[in-house]
Amino acid sequence: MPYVNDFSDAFEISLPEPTIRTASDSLAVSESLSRSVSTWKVVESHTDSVSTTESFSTPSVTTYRTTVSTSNSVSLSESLARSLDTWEYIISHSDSVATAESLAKSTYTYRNVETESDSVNTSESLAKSTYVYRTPVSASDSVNTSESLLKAVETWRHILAYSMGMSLSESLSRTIYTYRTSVSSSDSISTSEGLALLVETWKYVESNSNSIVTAESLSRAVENWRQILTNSDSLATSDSLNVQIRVMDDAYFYDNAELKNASRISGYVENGSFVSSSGLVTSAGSLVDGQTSTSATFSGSDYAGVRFDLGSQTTINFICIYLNSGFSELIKFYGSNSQGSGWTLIATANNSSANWTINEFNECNYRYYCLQLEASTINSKIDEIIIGEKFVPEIRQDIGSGDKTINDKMTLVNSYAGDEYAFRTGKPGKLLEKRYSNISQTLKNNFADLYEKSSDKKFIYYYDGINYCSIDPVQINEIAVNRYSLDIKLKT
Amino acid sequence: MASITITSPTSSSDWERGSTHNITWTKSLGGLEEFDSIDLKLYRNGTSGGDYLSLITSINSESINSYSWTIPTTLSADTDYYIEAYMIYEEDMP
Repeated sequence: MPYVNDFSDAFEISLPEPTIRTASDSLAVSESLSRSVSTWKVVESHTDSVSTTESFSTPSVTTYRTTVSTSNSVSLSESLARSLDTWEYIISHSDSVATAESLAKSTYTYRNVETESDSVNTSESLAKSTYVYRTPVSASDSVNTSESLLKAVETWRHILAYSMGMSLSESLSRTIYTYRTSVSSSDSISTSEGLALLVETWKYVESNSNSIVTAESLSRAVENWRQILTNSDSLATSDSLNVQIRVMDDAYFYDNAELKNASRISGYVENGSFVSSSGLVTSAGSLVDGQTSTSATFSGSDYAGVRFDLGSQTTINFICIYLNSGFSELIKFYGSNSQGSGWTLIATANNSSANWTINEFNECNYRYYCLQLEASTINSKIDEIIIGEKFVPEIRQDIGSGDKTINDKMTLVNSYAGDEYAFRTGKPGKLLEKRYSNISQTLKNNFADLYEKSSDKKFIYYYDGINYCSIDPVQINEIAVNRYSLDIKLKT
Repeated sequence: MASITITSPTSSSDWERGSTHNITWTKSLGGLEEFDSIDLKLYRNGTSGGDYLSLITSINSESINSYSWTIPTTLSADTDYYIEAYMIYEEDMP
């Protein structure tokens, strides 16, 4: 096939010139942000009239973190820097909140959220933070913005710093939930109003004072949340209330273990074993004779005790001890279900104070109990003891119950001339009259047990202090089926 | 008598890699000659003993006198590239 050809002149193929574009670093932050905001306005809202509030919405924050940084792996400092710049720009254009303050709060929150070793998702935290900030700042409510923010941040700080068992995300979630619903029991309350109410509550209700410091009011509020909302505290709310009520209640410490009928033997407990040894305790019966004027004498070296055999396992949770004077020997109280072995220390009682002391301990259940003194040299006296299970009436005595002074320890003598003389034979006593006007059969039986076991042995009635009492026969009337009215009289 | 002449690129042409430029040529055929095809080929390092690099395109239309060529980015920068226009024709028997 015929052909013709031709070569071109030599020509050059070269590398392209670098494209001249605006480097992102050379774009002023304000300009960059302006463009970003404008973009957001149009894209997110499809309108140019987007409000500042809307600009603060969660998508924006998410956008800052991902779009602006083009990566989720952006460093925290960079992310914060961009966020702060953005806020500064946005806020300064129309919002009246002080930029510096907002930024301070925001930064502080971020710092807390980011640095805590909690598994809370960062984006979720930011969303919640933004939501809280956004609403008070823009809502048309009269709540003071700076105050609301301060409280919110303080709350977070408090929750975070006190290392409560609640996770961070849960704390935040519950905080916001509380703001919105719990305070008002309604979802219709505005957040700002909820905040205001909550703060006012802290200031006035919790402390009964306007001078309460923020930290204290927050502490109380968080404690409430922790217990009421999450039940994460080991003390349930109901238990807590119960405890408070019981503190105010009266209580009876009487010989319901019937120690007065127990057989006794002198000896001592050492290394979990009881060793009989006569003569270590003399007049041991004085410990349970219902009188504080007679005493048992403990003597010896190292250990001197008396073992009681209740005949069967008996539950107790207190030991009351009366001393005419304190001493240095330790008073220890042991229990066992075997005469010679398995002895366990139940309590170390007060040994330094004269008069009655009540030593309460966790409930225990033994047949044998041993009270002993321990010291290198023992030579002291104990006058009276009571052991048993504390009796706390499930309801309080009636209003109107009271006490009065009685002078029944006097002898009146008439002289031949007709003059009357009085000889006092003892200190004036106190008569405590109590009425429980509507009680259950169980409580009635409890009082009956109190009388049965205390009619010949005084006991301790605790109400505004220790009263060592005897009890008069209990008057019981059935006022309805299985409901009773009960009157008791106690004499000191 | 058939002939073909490349009019672009010229010695002053400087084409960037990745850019697109027209390769142009003129041709003529005698009265008894019939156009068959034109191949455009790329060479480097001279027209005689140079390196043949690749066929740029093959054109089968007599009416076409230019070709838009995107310079491959795989080519290295150099001042000694050449394009050959290679026209095949047939001779009609008298």
